Amino acid sequence: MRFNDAILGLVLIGFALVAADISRGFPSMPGQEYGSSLFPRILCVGFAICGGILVWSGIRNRATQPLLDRDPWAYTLGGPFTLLLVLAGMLFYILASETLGFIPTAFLMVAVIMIRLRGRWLSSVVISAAVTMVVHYIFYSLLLVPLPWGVLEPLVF
Amino acid sequence: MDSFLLALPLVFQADVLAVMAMAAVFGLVVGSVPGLTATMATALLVPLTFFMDPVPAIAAMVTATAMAIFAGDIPGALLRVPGTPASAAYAAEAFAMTRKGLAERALGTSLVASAIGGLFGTTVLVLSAPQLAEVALNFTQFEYFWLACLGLSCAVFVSTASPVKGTVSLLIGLFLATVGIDITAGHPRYTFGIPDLLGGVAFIPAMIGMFAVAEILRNVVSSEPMQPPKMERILKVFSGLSGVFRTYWRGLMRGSVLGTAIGILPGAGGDIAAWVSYALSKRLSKEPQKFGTGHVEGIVDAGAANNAALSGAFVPALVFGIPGDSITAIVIGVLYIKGMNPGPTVFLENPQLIYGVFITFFIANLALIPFGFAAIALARHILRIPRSIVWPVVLLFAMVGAYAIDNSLFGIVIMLVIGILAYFMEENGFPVAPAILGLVLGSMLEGNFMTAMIKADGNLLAFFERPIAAVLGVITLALWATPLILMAVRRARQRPGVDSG
Repeated sequence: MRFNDAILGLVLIGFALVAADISRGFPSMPGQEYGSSLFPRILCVGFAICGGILVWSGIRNRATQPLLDRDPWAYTLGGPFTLLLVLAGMLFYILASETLGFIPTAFLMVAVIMIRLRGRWLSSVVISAAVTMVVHYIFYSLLLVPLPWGVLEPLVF
Repeated sequence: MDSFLLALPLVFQADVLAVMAMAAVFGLVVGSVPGLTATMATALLVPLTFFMDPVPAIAAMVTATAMAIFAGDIPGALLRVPGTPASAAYAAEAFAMTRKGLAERALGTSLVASAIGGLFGTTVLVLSAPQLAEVALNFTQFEYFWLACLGLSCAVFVSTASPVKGTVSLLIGLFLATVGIDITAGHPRYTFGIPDLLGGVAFIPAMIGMFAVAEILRNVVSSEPMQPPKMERILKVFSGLSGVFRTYWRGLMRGSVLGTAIGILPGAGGDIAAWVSYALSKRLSKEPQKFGTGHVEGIVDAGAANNAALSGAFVPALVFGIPGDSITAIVIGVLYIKGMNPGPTVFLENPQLIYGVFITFFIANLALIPFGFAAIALARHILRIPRSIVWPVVLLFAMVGAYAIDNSLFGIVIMLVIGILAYFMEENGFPVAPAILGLVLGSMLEGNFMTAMIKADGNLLAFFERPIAAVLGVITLALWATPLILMAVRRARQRPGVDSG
């Protein structure tokens, strides 16, 4: 998804304004006119200047640069679906892993995405199960990362 | 010398060497799968190295990247798909050699050239870093401020065709670094009441997001590339190589020197070193017409250059704590997290650590020959791993890695958000390397800037009062002015043309 530079520039200018406004709440150092807000404000000025240049170049190149240029995959149903599935898989892991536990959550996430990418059910399920257990072994058993057990609590090893 | 002897037992331990061997295998596999870059190899390795002592941690990262940079040549030569961007410069040339039946020659040349280039870069690193560190001990906040500015500016101008977009990327990185408790006043900035953000945007999850998640998002939507054709077994990698290197020893030296120099420059890494030295090799060659038709000469230069650059990039990183490319930025970020602040004082206080790192550089580059040979021999199998299996596995590794740093799901949230941001940035022509440099250097830059401001009582001229600071400052300002001057010159040239035409 490629946007015209002018749109990106406007986003940057808007961001700079908001960030600079928030920085007004930062305290200054005792006896000085500047403080925590100085550095972020310098960055905001930088964002605004770059945004301005991008707006200018976007307007100048508007003939060759459409407002939004999409890749061929974006016009298909499958491409965006895969992308959303990957993002949904990560969200699912963030929301469910504490209660459901690492092993079931990670297995479901990897298996669903792999089936979507490969189209083969049985081998994808087997590979996903193996990968989940290997990752669990490396991080839980070797590196002692407390990956949550969740519903598998009774089986802790 | 004493520190060198002290360093030996730090490195020659069974577990350190075992870690290096595993990192080597990991780097070779990641490097030879197209789409998985050397930077990603480092990024995915970081959560594992997080649990190690400094020397094995750096040893693992150095080994994995050296292997990955070479391994990128394997699919480049056999499939014309460079495994890492550093191999892109000569993938077409190497593939042309394969089609002439010279795959062994192409891969053998790039393997040996990689090892020699890497050893050369390491030698320069070992000889120059301690000397530079002596100089750097006299630096104050003013010098460090300008040095960081200079490094970041170079990164912006070198890494991209559009300096404006490079600058935006850098600003994004610096801005992300301001999130959290502020260093001068202790006030929380841009945390929006989220307690997890008080400590700032966690560096490792952010970096995994930038280099792994963004890459996954980009790749899952593209259709699976064609399956690699049946390949012959490649074994006679080293035959006839002495002839190649006797003929083109000048190119080997040129590539090593140029690669090291480009690596030392902030902002430029192995990929740029390979492009520049391939182009230079062609220009200085006696038979430039042969380039592109499967001629080994350019591979000698560029194969040495990209591995030399890898070692060269560690000079500014270890001496000043200012990384020159994404890979050293990651390593520096890890060292900061481990409380071993890179910079000249490390050379004074813990020289054995630095020498330990140097020794691992030599081992990694020497180990390149046997490990690289094994990878070439197994290439037919590695290249057949379908990417539809690789991406979900990389995703799981990335997520667990982001979680493992603080044992907190918030790490995965940061990884996801930054990953989506990086995906949009790259789609729209904003390079991500300046952003990661900005994130690593942001608090150091601001800290030096604020301390210098307090010292100078707000007087900006004080930034130019010390001689070295003045020189660095003037160079930085000149660099910033260059694009404006170029634009003005272009305008002035265009105008008469418009009038007459």
